[in-house]
This record gives sequence, C-alpha cells and structure tokens, in this order.
Amino acid sequence: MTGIAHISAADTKLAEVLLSLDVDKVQRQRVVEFIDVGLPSPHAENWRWSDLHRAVDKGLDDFPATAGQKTSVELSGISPDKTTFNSSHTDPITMLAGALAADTARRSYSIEQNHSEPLVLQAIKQNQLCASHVQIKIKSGCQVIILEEIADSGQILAVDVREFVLDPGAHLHRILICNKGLKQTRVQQSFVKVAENGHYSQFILDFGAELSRIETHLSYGGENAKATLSGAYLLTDTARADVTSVIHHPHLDCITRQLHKGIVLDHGQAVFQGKFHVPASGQQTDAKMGHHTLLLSDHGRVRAKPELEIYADDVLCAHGNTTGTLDEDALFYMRQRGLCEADARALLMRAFVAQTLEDLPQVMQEQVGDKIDTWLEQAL
Amino acid sequence: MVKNKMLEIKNLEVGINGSSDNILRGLNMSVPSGQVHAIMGPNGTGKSTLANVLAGREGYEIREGSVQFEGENLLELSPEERAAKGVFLSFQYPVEIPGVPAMTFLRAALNSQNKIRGEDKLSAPDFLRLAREKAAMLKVKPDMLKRAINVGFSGGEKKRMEILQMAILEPKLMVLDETDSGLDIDALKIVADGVNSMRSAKRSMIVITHYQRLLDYIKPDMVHVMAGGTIVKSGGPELAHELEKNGYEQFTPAVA
Repeated sequence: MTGIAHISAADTKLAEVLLSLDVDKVQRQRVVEFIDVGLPSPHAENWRWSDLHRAVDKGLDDFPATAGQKTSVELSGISPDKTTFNSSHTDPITMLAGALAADTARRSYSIEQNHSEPLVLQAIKQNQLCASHVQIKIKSGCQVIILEEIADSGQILAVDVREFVLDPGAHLHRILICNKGLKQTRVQQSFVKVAENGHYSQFILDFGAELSRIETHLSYGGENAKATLSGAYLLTDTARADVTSVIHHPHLDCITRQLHKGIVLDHGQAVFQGKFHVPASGQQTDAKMGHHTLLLSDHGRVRAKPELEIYADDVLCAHGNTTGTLDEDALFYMRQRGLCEADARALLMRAFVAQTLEDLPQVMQEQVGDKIDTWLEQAL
Repeated sequence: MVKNKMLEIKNLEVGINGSSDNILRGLNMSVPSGQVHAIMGPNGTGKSTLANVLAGREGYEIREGSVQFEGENLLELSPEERAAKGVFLSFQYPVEIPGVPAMTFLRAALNSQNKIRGEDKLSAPDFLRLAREKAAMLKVKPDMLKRAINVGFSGGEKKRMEILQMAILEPKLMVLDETDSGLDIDALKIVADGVNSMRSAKRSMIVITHYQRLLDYIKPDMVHVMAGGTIVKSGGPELAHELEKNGYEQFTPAVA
C-alpha cells in the first residue's frame, strides 16, 4: 500500500475517473483495490525512465468522462473458457487492468490443437479509457501463432495484461504490432510461463505513443525450454517506446535469445530494460541479449539497461548494447552507384532492422515487412 | 572544348575541410572518349583523393579549378547524379553493407539511375536475366548475388563484384582506384578481362595503380605520373615500364 505522500496528480485524477465509471459491484471492488495501490511509483527502478504518472495526468486532462461501450475480447472465433476468471498477479498494472476491464474484457482461452493460420487476438476498445486481461493456455505439443495489433482508435489510456501458459512441448509464436498513437498511453504487460521443452517466440513491432510500455515477464517452468524474444521500435515525432523484460531461468538447460533493434528520429525516445535472472538452480542456462539502436536525431534519446543477475556457476549469459548512426562510407558507396540519399538511408535502415525479422513465421514476414516499409516511406 | 574530350580537369586544387593544406595542387588532365588513362604514383600523392573528388565524396573542399564531364560541370552534381551521368568509381576497399543482398542493391542502383535519367524501370525478371548473364561472364557465383553485398567476400570476390556492378550499370567513365590491390594473379586476370570486355569507343577509364603489373593486362593509351598532388609526367604505355625499372624517386623532389 502506498503512503499518502506518494499520491500524484495522476493518481487523483485516475481515481476520480474510475469512481465515476458505471460498473458492477465486483468491478467496483477492483476499482477500490487499485485506488488503494495507485500507479507504479515513478521512483521505482523499472519505471523511472517512463513517466507513467506524467502521461496519465496529461491524457486525463482531455478526458470527457463519457460512458461508452464495454471493451470486449475476441480470439479468432474461439470460445473462451467457462471457468471463472482468475489471476495470481497483483502488481499495480494488473490491478489497473482489473479496475478498468469488465467481464467481457477478461477472458481465458485454451488452445488444444495446432493452428496453421495465425489466430488474431483482438481487444475491441470503444472507450477512451480501456483495458483487457487475457489468459491463453497452449496445451502440450500444440503449435500456434497469435497476432495482436494495437490500433490508435482514440484511446487515452489502454492497459492490456496477457498471460500465456505453455504446457510441455507447446510452441507459441506471438506477434504484437503497436501502431503509432501520439496521444495514447498504453501499457502491455505479459506474463509467460514455459514448461519443459516448450518454445515461446515473441516479436514486437512498436511505432511508439505518448507512452508505449511493452513489458514481458517470462519464467521457465521446466528443463530444455526455449524463448526467442525479438522486436523493433521505429520512432518519429515525439513517439516513445519502452521495451522491458525480465526472464527467469530457474531450470536446467533453458535457452533464451533476445534481440531488439530500434531507429529513433525527430524527438523520439526509447527505453530498453532487459534482465536475465538465473538462480543457482538454473545451471546450463544459455542466454543472449542484444539491443541496438540507430539514433538519427540530435533531439532523440535512447536509454538502455541490460541486467544479468546470475547465481549459477555453469551458465552462458551475454549481453550487447550499441547506439550508433548510419555508416557514412556505406551511404557514399550506395550514392556512388546511383541511389539517392533518402533511398540509401532507407535501405540501410531496413537492413538494420531486418535481422529481428529472421525468426518470424513465413506467413507473417510480408505483413510485418510492409509495415516497416510504410514507416520508412513516411519517415524519410 | 575539344569535342571528344569526355573528362577535362583544369588546375584542380583540393583540400580537406578544416585544413588549409591542399592535397591536389593545380592538377590538369583530360581523357578523350574511348581511351584508358593510367595514373601511377607513390603513396600519399592524392590519387585516391582525385578518385573521390570525381565521384563527389563529401569532406573535400574544391579551392580552385574545374572538372568538366561531357561539357558539364561535374563538381556541382550530387554523387547519385554523377553516377546517373555515367561516372563509376570502383572502390579500393568496397564497403560491406550487412543486410542488403547484392541483388537488391544492384537492382535499386540501376532503377535509381534510370529514374534520374528519366528512363523506364527494368522489370524484375529482366533484371534477373541481365544480372545472371553478366555474373556468368565474370565468373561470379549466383550464390554471391544473394548474400549481403561485400559482407564476408574475399578480396577477389569484392573486386569482381565491383566489375559486375560496372557491367550492369554500363557507365561512361570508369575510375578504378587500385583495383589490383589484394588480388592474386588469377583474380587479377579475371578482373582485368572483365574491365577489358567493357572497353569501347564511347567509354573512358582512369586506372589508378602503384604497379605496372595491372597495366600488362589493361593496356593504357596514356600513363600519367602523379606526385605532390599534380601530374608531373605523361607519356605512352612505355612510361609504366620505365617507372617499374627506376621507381618514383626521380619525381619525389617535386614534392619537397
């Protein structure tokens, strides 16, 4: 519980708005519980570079407090589980999602067979303030691709919590595309549990927002599991993107591959926080983290914090982090062959992020590639 | 201007931005259409600077003189405009560009040049046919076209890729900056054969080299000796042999 001293203007405004919502008794209880806790402290280590309080405060200034349709969730026509929705997570973001989301936006799904076509996860948001909380369980040995795209349809604040539970040998390929939304504050928080021999692949493409925080907490639940986390952020104007992840390796022989790349133009601001945690039980962990940025504007900013917390003595853990600009020699070489400067820059930028797409399923390559190409055309 | 002069350099004085010293000091040179001119000289005399200035690299300050290409002021054009006009620089150290496949790069370059010249784009199948045909001619493996341009290529492969680009882009003026560096005898011969296959009455070449050996394969019409930022002696192909025998020492006092 936070003390009085920590209540910010954003907390107060948010509490007023939440209390004005027309909700049922159960949701009202979640509202009260959230207000008691408040937004994550801006002084907390993993929030100090992304000021959620400032973003919420700014967003709520324009909030007209009109009641709208409830947010609802769909997953490619698959029926949600009938069991009562239940989550073990009690962090402020999950609680905020609980306060904002009605039962229509709190769903659990079980995937019990392979799907060759991507399943589309959609939170249909019709309010300026909205949230969803979705749990997806992938049964043993099943393979599935789940695509989610966050559009800018006028939300001031969008909070989405995702829980993915992979049973032994399951393989989930998750693709999250976050479109640009300069007035939007969005927080996507995912909790992933990967059982033995499971494989979780995640690709995030973020074009930034007033604040776009994509947070992934992954924990291996058994031996020989694998996770591939990749993504790219492409920022223009005043767009901000924050990629935060914490990967726990408590079991033997788990493999993590993480690679994020970003391009920052104009007044774009990026945050990368990546943590590998390996307790003494996580022997033979093989984990690599990479974060590389092209910082192409004097006004842009990139903050990066790779963290390795290792207690096991027989592991392979590495991280690499770079910030740079385009290679002038390569630019001249390309122009000497006839490419105009903008085309040469676009080709180099495209090539820079291309590496993060290597792990994408074939069916998604074109869609994601087109998004990047469109951004490059508009940015240059 | 004499009608068949493709390139005319007059009294060219060039320095690096931020330094008052000149690297090129009153250089004069003219290359008629269809001729191959060799520039030889010791290290540090401005040979590569001349190549870079002709191609339009940034960072150089033109302090005096002029460069006319087919009667047009070359110095006021951007690097890509010069390329579209037909100026091609074969780099001493071709740049590695990770993530950009050679084929993608070549097609983008050709289409971009066509666009600047107001010509039509080449369709993808037509381009593929053209690239494959030229690659076979230059003994460039098709696999190399799929790889990122110059990344992990051997010295010989990089130079062959330069020649392949030339063959596809069909420039009017080819500037070969120490194309022989880093090549073994076999690779040198393949590269020289490629260059020779492009000789024509409408195409000129400037071959920059330290050694006479390359000129055994690419026979020049004229040989220029460069020292101290200017051309100190010009002559026929026999001048290269004389240099090989006597070295550059006879010209170095000119620098002092």
